[in-house]
Amino acid sequence: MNELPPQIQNQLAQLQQVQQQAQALIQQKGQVEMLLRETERALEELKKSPEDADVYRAAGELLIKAKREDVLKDLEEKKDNFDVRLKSLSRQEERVQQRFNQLQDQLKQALGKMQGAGAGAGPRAE
Amino acid sequence: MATAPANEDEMRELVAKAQAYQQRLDLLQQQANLVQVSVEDVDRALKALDSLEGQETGHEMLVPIGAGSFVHATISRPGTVLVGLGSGVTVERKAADAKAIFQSRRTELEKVLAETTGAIGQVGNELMRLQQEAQKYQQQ
Repeated sequence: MNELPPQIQNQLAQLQQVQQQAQALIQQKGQVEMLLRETERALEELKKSPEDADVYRAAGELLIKAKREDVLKDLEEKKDNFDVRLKSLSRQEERVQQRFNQLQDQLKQALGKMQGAGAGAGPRAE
Repeated sequence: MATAPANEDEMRELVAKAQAYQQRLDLLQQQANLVQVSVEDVDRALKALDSLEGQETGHEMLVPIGAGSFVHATISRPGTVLVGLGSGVTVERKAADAKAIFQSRRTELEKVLAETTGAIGQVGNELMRLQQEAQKYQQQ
């Protein structure tokens, strides 16, 4: 790393940063996907339950009785929110991936030029 | 000797690949353990439902409060179960419906477990192949 020109070191650092951003986004996306699946399943199962079934909402360790319709509405809202967040994260992921590819190409070109210059300088040095 | 730098590069690549496979393997094993814990949790619920079948109102039982301790309780609504659906929602269902929900969850979890175990096998084999290849390079 110390032997590399500062410009390439800088590009490499940027590439690593973008890679970390991409990993963080993938992790966030995974979590939102999981929450979305959980909400969809809860919604599906609640819709299958009889209309007069007692429904409870968790409040810490307590379960508090709630109206089935209210809980259905809350779950629909939750699902919509997760959908929006997931789309936004996918767009961000796409942008970061593009930036990563761009930086990777730039770095490859810079390294190629450096190697070419090194090979050209070899015989002259002798 | 002329091929030494190429070998070093290949060796570095092999080591990096092996590390990535090892990380993937660790993650898959963690996932399999979590799924196994969930299967056991569902089994405990199914077993409890079987034990409660046929019990009538007023039947005495002990409810665990943690630390191996219990409080006295009596069944007030026999044949009904409060089933957690996820997302902080719990619904009262007939014991038979609750059993069907748990059995369906178990089937789903077993499917995930089988897929994860299959992936562990594949990643494990690939990791072993990479390690053997790395050993060959070292012996050269």
